[in-house]
Amino acid sequence: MSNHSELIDKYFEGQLTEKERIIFDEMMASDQHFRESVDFQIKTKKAFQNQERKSLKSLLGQIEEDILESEKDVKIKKIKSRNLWPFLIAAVLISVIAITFFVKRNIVSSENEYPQDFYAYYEAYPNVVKPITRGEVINPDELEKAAFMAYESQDFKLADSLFSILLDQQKEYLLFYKGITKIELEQYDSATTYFENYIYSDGMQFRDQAKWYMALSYLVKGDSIKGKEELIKLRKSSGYKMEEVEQLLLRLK
Amino acid sequence: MDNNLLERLSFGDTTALEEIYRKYREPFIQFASKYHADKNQICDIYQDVIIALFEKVKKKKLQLTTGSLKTYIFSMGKFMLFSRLKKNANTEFIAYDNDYFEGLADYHDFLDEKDPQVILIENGIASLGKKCQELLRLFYYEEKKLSEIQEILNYNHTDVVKSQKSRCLKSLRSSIELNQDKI
Repeated sequence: MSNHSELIDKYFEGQLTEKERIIFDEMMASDQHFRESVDFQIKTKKAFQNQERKSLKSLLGQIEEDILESEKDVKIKKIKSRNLWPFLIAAVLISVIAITFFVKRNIVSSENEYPQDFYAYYEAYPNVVKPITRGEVINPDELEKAAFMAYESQDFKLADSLFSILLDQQKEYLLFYKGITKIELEQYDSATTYFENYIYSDGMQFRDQAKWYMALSYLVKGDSIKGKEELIKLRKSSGYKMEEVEQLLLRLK
Repeated sequence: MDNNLLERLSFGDTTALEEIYRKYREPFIQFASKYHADKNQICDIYQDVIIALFEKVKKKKLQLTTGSLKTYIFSMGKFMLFSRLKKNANTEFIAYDNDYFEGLADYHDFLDEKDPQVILIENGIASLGKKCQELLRLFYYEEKKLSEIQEILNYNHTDVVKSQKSRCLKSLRSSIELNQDKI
């Protein structure tokens, strides 16, 4: 029996020798029990593949939605691209309304929404990569500037779709800012993925920051175990936000 | 640049997947629109193509040189598109040249009907413990060897992996038999 299962394991590892392959084929033809066992494992393999495909499919579906959304935004932009001013003014107005709404809602609901108000430790990271001068007229081709402008004016939905378009420029810091944008949009799972990818990338500038925001995303989401883990990692690797990290760790005990 | 993307993809980096998806999406839709009008279906096929690419690259079964990624995606997409159109007999079918390359037969399984027992197993996997799920996933999906799994999961000996694996399979099987009885 154990001989048989070894043969089957080797079959799945793709390591059968020619001789073993012959025995394997013979067993498949003659031994029903053996055949059933192989068959079940082939189906198990298939089942895992299906699962994985499903989750990839939903990831790509999400990306597709993002793209369609940003195509809409771009269309709006195209109409107004000859003169960007009306668009910018509209964006600013929307942001002002959004901020007012956000601040108001926070005042009303911050206590019950974040029971341990981890969110209080959160503050969007400032734009330090693309300085923007107020009143500057933007060339529509300068998408990156437009993205950071949206980011600075807290129009995170627009920033999110613009960052998405920019991701294939392979600038690591975009991953980091995309992560922050995702926190703002309350998509914490997505946020942690971007921070993680940033940490695995060659980007150096925001490594500690990415760890800090990753920990916060976990905490706000309610996953205190992972959040704590990230905080401990951060404490080990640097002194970034030392005071806050200590405070949070004390609380999480 | 594509090489770098493919390398990241081979490590399972899903942001590389996203980049590739975005990069070839528009050209692919334009290309496929010559053969088929339904944009939703084209997008659906494109997603399958990208998933198939991801699987291949991760299993290191694909060696592409720079620049051929696009050709590969397009050929695969064309193959899947035609196979699907053929299947839906009610859709208008356009004759095609045989220029898709070998190995594409692998993608037939994107089109096959699902085996009901496989669906049962999928549900069974979800009811397994985390450890079993991870071990079986590494072996059957990631196609890791038992010795590699020993390292990844920190077991003392491959024999432990082996016996653990057969225990997991056994409980998977019994959970399925239980469900089968219910039906």
